Order: sequence, then structure tokens, then C-alpha cells
Amino acid sequence: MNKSSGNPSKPPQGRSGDAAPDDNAADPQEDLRLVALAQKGDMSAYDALVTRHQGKIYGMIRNMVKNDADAWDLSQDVFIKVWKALPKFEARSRFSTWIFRIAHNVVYDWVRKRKIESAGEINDEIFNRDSIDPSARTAPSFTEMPDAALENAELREKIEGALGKLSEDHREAILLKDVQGLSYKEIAEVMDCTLGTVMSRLFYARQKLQTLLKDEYESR
Amino acid sequence: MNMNPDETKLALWLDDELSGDELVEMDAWAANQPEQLAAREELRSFRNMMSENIPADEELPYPDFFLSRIHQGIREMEAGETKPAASARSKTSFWKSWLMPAAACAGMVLAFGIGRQSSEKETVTAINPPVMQPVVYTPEEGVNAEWSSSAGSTLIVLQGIAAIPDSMDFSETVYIPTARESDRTANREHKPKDTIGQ
Repeated sequence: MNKSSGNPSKPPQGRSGDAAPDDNAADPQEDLRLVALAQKGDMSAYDALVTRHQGKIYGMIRNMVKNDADAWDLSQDVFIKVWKALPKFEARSRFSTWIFRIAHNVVYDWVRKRKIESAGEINDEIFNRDSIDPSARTAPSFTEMPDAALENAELREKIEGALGKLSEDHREAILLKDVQGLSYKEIAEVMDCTLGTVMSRLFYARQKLQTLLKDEYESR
Repeated sequence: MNMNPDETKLALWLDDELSGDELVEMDAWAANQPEQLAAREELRSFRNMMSENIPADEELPYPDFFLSRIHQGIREMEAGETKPAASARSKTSFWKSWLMPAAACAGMVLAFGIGRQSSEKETVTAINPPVMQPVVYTPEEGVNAEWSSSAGSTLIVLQGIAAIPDSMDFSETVYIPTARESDRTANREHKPKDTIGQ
């Protein structure tokens, strides 16, 4: 992408070298520096912000919607909305927490619309592995593989499957806490609820996940 | 610490979110609470299992295209915001609430009548392409297309399509042409229809 094209409505004002992303992608101070530049219309600074956070946002949304293509599109929507809301960002919270809040709204809007549009349609989530006829010609065969990488991939698949059985609220709480590492306070901010609600959601989500993953969890 | 901590403080301690004096205080209390220490260890183990197997940061497919689509989206959003709408909205509320549905119904009846007349006469009307349609990559000549349908699926075979050059900027595929560019497309030399479907 040609960064020199800059902001469609405002000419880039920062020096091109100012916005180069550094190695420490998790540095909140670097986020604030880039945000300040982007708020002045520096599109290359905004590109750097997108590059720093796109992996986390995409990963979070992919785990929420369970579809790569939808996650890609929704992540794009998030960063368009972030740009629009950027003048309102006052650094009261970390920039990453603020983006998660916008991602939360985008995903919940999408889920709401999808539930309305798909009312009466076949729910393809019922076609899970257990419902495949084992004698079907195209059924994937299961093979025991001792390789550690494959075991990890298998465990990840099981965890993702178990996460998919949680409600959106419980799934999001657990992803924000145990995968993204946000604090209770930050999760309450992202999900727009009280600290007590976060604790309750996390408690029940973990309890259900531990039950669903009982075998894997106890073998560790 | 003699008194039991409140639920919030206990949850924060179990999740390793306390620091400073609060942590020291809670650790002192928990020293005599083996079940709470075990619960904290169990929670740590669970968090480790989650973070080791579900990556927080995932590689985004087509990152360059992702950025260009964001730029495109921002351009479209800002172009949409510059259109005057708010002032006209209040003035047209009466039009929208009463007159517009009636006009829409009349239009549908008229269109239905015209549609029936034109299908009876079997006339072909040249329709200009709408100016706001995005430009889509389409092969124009020397392409043979065949399709077949069976078992609920459709197979389309296209032969003779040139490879898409690496230099092609896909952000251009959503470029809105000007009226003059649309006219130029319409004035292209007519190609015989029999190049498709043979």
C-alpha cells in the first residue's frame, strides 16, 4: 500500500520517519505517540497503529465468530470505526483496551444482525464432528499422531470447540482475560458492564470450559 | 489479616491481579487457607493452558490488502459524511411518511405495466451502465465458458483467461468510474457473441 497517499481528507502532517512501528508492539506509550500523530491526520501513523493491533483484533474476533473470512471483514470494520472515533480518544484507558471496546460493539452488532437474518434457516453449527456418519465415504479418518505439534493443534481445536459452546458473553470474557490478558477492570470497560458481572461471567465460563475439557485439563 | 476478604478482593487475588500492600495482606491471609492456595494454582494452570493454545495475536491474512481496504473504507465513510442530509431530513418528513410510499406504489404499478408491454413486444432496450457501479475485473474476449450442474452444485469452466498480472492493484476493483469512462466502455467495438459458450 502506498502510504504517501495519506489521509483522504487531510494531508499527512507528520514526518514519515515518525510513524515507523518499533519492535515493542505492546508499548502503550508508543501507541499514544502514534495516536497523537494519527489524530492530526497522519495516515502513516494510523497504518502503524493498525499493523500493531491487527493481529490481536483479528485473533479475538476470529475466536468470537469462528469464521476466518467474517473475522477479516469485521476486523476491517473495527479499524474504520477506530479511525472515525479517534478524535474522541482521550487516553483515559489503554489504546488496546479502547480498540477491544470498539471490536466488542462491531461483533455484537454483527451477531445480532446474523441472528435476525438467519431466523428459520438451518443452523450449520449442528453439523459437528460427532454427527458425521462414521461409515460415510467422505468422513475424515482419525489417526493417532504422537507428534507434539499435532497434539497441540488438536488440543487447540478442542479448546476452540469448547469455547464455541459458550455464550458470546462468557466466551468474550474468557478470551479477554485468559488469552488477551486484560484485567477485570479493563474487561468491564470493554464489555460495558460492572466488575461483579465480569467476575460472574468468568466464573461460570471457566467452570463450563473446565467441564468440557475435563480430560485434557486433568491430564496436565 | 484476621477477617475474610470480600469477594472482589478474593477474585482479584486468585487471578493474580493484586499488587503492593493488598497482595502482601492477601498472601498473609491465604497462608492459612490451603484450599484458596490450591484454587489459585488451579486457576494459574487453566490460564496457562488457554494462553499456550489460543494465540492472542494471530497472523492476519493479506495484510497489505487489509490496509488498502481500510483506506478505501475511510474514504467512502468520509465522502458519505460530507453529503448534506440532516437539514433536508426534517423538511422531507411529510414527504417520507405519506407521499413517498404512495409514489413508490404508483411507480411499482407503472414498472409492472411497462415490463409486461416490453416483454410482449420482445424488444431489446439498450441500458446505460449505472455510473456508480464499481469496476469489476471481467474478461472481455477470447474466453470460452461452460457450465454444468449436477447434485445441487454448479461447475463453471472458463478457458482462455489471461493471468492476472502481479502489478494489478485490487483496490482499483472498487474504483468508481466517471461518466466519461462509463461512456468509453459503452462505445467499445462490438465483439461477436459466439466467443462465449462454444
